Amino acid sequence: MVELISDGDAGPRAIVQEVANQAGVVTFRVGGQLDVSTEGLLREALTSAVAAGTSKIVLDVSDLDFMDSSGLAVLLAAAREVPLELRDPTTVVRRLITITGLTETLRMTPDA
Amino acid sequence: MTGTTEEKSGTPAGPVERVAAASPTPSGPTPTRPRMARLAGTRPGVVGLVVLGTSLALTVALSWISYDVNQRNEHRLLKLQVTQTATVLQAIVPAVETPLASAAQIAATSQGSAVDFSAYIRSYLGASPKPFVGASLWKLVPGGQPQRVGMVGRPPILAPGSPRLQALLASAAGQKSVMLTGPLEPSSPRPRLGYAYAARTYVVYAEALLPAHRRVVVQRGSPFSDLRFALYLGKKASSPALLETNVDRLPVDGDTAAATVPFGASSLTLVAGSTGQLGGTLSGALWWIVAIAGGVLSVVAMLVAERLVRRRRAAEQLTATISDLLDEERGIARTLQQALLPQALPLVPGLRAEARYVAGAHGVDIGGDWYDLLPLDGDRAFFVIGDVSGRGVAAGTTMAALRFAVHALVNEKHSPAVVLDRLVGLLDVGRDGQFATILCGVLDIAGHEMTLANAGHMPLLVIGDGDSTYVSGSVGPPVGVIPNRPYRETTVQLPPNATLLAFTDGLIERPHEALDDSLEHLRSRIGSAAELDDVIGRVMVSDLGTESSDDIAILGVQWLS
Repeated sequence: MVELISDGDAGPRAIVQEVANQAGVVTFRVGGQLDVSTEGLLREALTSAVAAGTSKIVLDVSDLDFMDSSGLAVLLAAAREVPLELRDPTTVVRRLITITGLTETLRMTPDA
Repeated sequence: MTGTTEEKSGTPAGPVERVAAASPTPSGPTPTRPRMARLAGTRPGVVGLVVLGTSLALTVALSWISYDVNQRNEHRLLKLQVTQTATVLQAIVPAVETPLASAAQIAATSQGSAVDFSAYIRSYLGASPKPFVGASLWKLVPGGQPQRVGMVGRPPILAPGSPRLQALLASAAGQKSVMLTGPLEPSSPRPRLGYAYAARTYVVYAEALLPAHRRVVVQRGSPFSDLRFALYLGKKASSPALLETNVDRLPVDGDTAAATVPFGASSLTLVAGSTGQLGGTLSGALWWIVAIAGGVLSVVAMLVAERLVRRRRAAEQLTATISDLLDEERGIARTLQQALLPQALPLVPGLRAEARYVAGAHGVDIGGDWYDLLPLDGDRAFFVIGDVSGRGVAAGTTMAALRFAVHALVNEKHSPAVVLDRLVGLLDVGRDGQFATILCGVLDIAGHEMTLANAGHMPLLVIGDGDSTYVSGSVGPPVGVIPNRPYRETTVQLPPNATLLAFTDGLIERPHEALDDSLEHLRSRIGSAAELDDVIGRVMVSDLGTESSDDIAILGVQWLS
């Protein structure tokens, strides 16, 4: 399942793709720009994963170029429900999480 | 059907800037978008009439085509029928020719025996249905006038010495079939028709009655029954040659057809028109059926067209109304936003303060950014800048709740960390889907010192001594993320005339740019600016807010000593 929000000719703005679902652990690949106009995509994916009784959510954010507070809110809301792991965050994402004092709330792997 | 043009005018939906300053700056009125210009579409009545006119024209054309096709068809059928009927006339030829031919033959064989002639021809004379009323036998004399040999029945109209009879007898002599002349005494009640047939030197002349006044009443079932006709002797339809007709006035009116057929050695010409529809009733009625149906359809089309135009106009007006409402909502959002922000920053002795609010390029939503500067007793002031995640009314109301909660908590003389601790219960990211980053602090004006607490907010930039640095203090998670987590405070000593710059993430967050790079760009942009106005001026670059969909709040505070 691939969900896209496209920006016209500029190509996809955000992409959320379920890449694995094993033993209660769902892995999504989240790429592009996660902001107020695209956060709904991820929120829907995470909400349904949580509703399906997922025990852990892994987000492969190695292709996530940008995230703002709206995107962060989606991650934080999901992290309330199930353990959430951000795999291979870019510097942008890692720094955002650091600067907002969320390093203990949102687990990033591998550890910096 | 109708062409409408919509014009949008007014200010582009770009960033709207708001200024709040300690020394109140007159801020211009918020530009309001003028209502969308509505160009009146074509009036429904006009469109309806155009449709009606077009449709009626089409109907008339179709109706005329139907009529014309029917007329042509009728004429073709009439022509066919007249030709056939004329051909039927030829069937009469033997009925008149045979007795005359036989009589002539008898006369020739019997050397002009008047007795034999009379005996034979007598049976063909009399009232109808006998073919003739009178007959005479003539002997042709070479070089002289024909001599009458015998005569039976009623006396002929053509006198024995009349040139017409002489000419008839002479011309009949060269023929092998019956010759006709007439009508004889056409003005009399019972005109006659003369026949002549020759065998060698003998010519039989007989006269037959024409109908009274040459008028006939045709019986049903006759080939003539559905024709208005006139029958002429000869190849032309000339009234002196009229033999019989069933119409009162000649020539036969209306659409007529003519056919000429040989009759013995003479010719008959039949001119006739139809009394009814030869091609059937439907064919004849089709043109006016088309006309009536087309007329009705035209009216229906007109009504439908009018209705469509009305509905289209209603839809256009609805669109305009929605657009207006959207504009109003945008205006309301901005008004609400401004109402939620300080109208003017308070004057705090020893400090100069300025603030800016730049709305993101993201439509009508209210943003969740805010700032405040609150004077405290004892030469101190409390500043706060915050950003509620998300947009819209939810973010706006949460922001208002947080802002007024901060007011209340500051009023109770709580320290920055305690203020943040107490705010934690007000929102929850799991419940509301929102969190808030807040940076707040107490400024000790005389002591050139400040105590900060940071809930996940962008760091504070301190400018002074020709340099600028971000305060690297303890940063806790944003408000609403983790319940019951005490925030820690950081105390910073400041140089004289120091300027503090607090801002929300909209100012520095750019796609494809690392946060640290953005922070560094901002720092280098400010450079060595010392005065608050200068700092604000360098921050407020012209393209601010055009790239980001997020709102931007900026609060600058400078020590005056």
